[in-house]
Amino acid sequence: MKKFICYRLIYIFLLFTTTFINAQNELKEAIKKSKIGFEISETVSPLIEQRKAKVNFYVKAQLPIIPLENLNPDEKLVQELCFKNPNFTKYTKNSKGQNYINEIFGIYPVRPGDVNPKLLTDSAKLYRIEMFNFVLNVSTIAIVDINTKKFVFLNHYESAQPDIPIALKELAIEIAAKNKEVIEELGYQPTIKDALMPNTKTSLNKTRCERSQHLCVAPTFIKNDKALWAIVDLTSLKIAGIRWTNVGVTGPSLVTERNVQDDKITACYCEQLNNLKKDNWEVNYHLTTSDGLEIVDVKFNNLPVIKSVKLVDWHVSYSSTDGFGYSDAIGCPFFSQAAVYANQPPTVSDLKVNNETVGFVIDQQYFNPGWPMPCNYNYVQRYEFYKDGKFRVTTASIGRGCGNDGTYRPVFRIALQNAQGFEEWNGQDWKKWDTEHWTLQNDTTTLTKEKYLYKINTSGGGYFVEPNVGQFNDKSRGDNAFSYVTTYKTEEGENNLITIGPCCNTDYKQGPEKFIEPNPESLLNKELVFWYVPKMRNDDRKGYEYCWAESVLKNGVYESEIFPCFVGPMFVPFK
Amino acid sequence: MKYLIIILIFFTNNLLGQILSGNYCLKYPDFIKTEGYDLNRAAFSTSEVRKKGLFLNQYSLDKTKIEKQFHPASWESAGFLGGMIFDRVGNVYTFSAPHVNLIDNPPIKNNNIYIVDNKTAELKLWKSIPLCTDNFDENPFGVMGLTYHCMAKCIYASSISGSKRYEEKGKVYCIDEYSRTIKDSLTEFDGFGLCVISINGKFSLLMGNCRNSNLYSVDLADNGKFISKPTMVFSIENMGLRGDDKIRKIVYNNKDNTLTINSLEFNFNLAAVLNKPETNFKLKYDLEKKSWYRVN
Repeated sequence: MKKFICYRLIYIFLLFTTTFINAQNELKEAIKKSKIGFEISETVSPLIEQRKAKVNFYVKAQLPIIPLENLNPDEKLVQELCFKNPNFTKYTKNSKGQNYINEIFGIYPVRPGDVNPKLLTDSAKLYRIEMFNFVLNVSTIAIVDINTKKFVFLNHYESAQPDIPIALKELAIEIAAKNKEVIEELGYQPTIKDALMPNTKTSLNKTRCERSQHLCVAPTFIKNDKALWAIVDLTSLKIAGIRWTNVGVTGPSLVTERNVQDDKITACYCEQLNNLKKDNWEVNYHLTTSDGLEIVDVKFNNLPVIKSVKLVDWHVSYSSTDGFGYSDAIGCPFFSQAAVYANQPPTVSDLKVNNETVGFVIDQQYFNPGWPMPCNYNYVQRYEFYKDGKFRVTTASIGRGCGNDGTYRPVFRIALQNAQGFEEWNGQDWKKWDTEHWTLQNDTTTLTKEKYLYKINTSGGGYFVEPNVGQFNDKSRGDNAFSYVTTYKTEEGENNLITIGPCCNTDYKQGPEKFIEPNPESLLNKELVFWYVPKMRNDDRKGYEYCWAESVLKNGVYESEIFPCFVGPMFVPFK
Repeated sequence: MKYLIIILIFFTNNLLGQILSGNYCLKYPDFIKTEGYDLNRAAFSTSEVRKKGLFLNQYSLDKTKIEKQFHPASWESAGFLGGMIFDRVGNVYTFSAPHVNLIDNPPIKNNNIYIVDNKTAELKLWKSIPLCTDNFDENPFGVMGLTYHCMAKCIYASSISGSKRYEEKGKVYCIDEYSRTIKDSLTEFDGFGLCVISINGKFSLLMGNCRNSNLYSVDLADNGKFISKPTMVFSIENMGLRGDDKIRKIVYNNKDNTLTINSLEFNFNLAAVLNKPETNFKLKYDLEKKSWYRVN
């Protein structure tokens, strides 16, 4: 009997454990299969085109409000009264008189809870009207007595969204049901009836578009015991994310724009190494918790080239206030030390020069959710791999920061395979560095005629280092970099590095000097690491913007206009 | 003495709706007055823009601007700081809390609790809670919240040291006020804001959690030790600007019998909380239904 109970208990334990592990694995698979906005194609349909035309028409109108259609005479009167009331239309334009896009979401007789019961008299005929401002995320609610043509109540609510009208509900379903990726996921084209909870306001109930701050709804399609969520952005008329969840007994769990992004980036790029083979290159890459996108064990023509390259810090200082600035780490969106974090996965694209594909590029973007509002940051890391074996390590700030007097200093750690000698061009000849050392590239620095400044020797050849002096056709104003060479030590950056330097040092003390001072070591017969700290000064002058971003009102909604400042050296192989 | 306090609390509870904050005995520091600050217009702050450490600000009569600021050197020595609490004597307690980066708050110091002396105003290390890891890649944080329990003479500290994405390894400690020894701890709970309250004479610790938007409660013995598992008593999920805020601060006001929950966005990273205002929720307790409900 005891034996039986014991076996039974073991069986129950194993069953429970297996079920738990299966559920965890299923969740991870669902996360990996999910799609983030930019991975999803735009839905094409006549209904969407009609909507775009309508928005285009009203955003140029004197009064930029999309009216509610098919109204009875009373409702029509309410709408007309509101359009004539300057307080009701107060937030339909910005302070410069530029139009925002607004829409009347609902007009209906007041309900008992809408108004003070004392106002519900026989002589009053009260209607409630709701308008939504797509840019400011403001709802305007009014209660109008059509008998007296007076406003009983009028208020504007920030970060509030009224119930969406039927027309937008149908539009959301259309965007989801006719989307290529949604159809692929489901394995069939869903009908309108297949969508569940289409009128759920994502900001108030079951999901949100926290990052775009757009009006989103989530048509949800059930297939067997799973639910496919399509987060539809009704401002941009695109899908912000797609994700499967288990329906379970209590219905689908919460899916939002942010958690689709963060979960997928974490599962696919923070928790696993990705391998890319292209143009005779083999690149392994992953997102770190504070050192950005790291490329490791990179080969060209099957020969090891790069041990590791990463971006360990961004130092930002402002000259108007002494000692004011930030030292930002970039990396994974959560469970990390990142202050500015990835909001989309790395992308791989062709590298083109004069319309000719000369290699490929890996890009990774990081942002603060409020960007490009002041004191929010946006950085991009870019690795360029050329078919001829060259590679370039670059990064850019895309503003906007806390002022127009900002200086940015990214700190690269570059460890080439078997790097065992470092030489600097002194204007006439290559001069070997014998000990750990640093130097500053400035206007008087002499480059070779090929624009090389350093030479890193590796087994069987090496790489010339070509600093960026604006020759790479990316509108860069040059690197002006501090360069450091240290001996390779595991504890000096092989693993994730916490912030190594303060925001605001203007001299060589950007962090890597800690691995040199106070007693520089000999570089002879040692494997070395190259640290590179460029400097960029931001600029907000019209026509000269650099490391900058602006919010521009286009077609009634804000869009970002960006002015990146790319920096970083090219590595040119030699035998 | 203990029984007298219990009787007093029970008596006060009956008069004031049977709920009482556990820090009823708190006293503000003597140095506020000795440094020439007006208690009615002065407030402590650890979130001054572009400045690290603790500040005592005295506001103008119309409360629109800071009139003067007290900030001795030792108040900056522990880097950026989290929230603060007061004990019965007037000592202030606070903790190391990283802001944007780890330069001023190295992870090995993030489980430290500091005390500011009631008389001298000097900030010193009070208790270094043992770290639960030496790998801070995924989580550089330590102490996240403090609260004081007058009757049990202890300080509760929530710490998420050692927690990882798939492992909730945080602990809530009950630390003896005088001996500074850990009397008890609650494990595998990533606590955030804390607050001791007494309902019908029974003490419990209310706790936010760094991973979700729920408010939890755990029963306490008279000596402050934990005598139950945490149970969820309210949730702010889908409320406020963002919908997934975490509960950072919990304060029970004995005067109007409301519990104020202060929440913000927190995702186990060092992103600045700029442009992300905190949200306040006010709750009351329904003694019949034995549940919290929102009143604002």
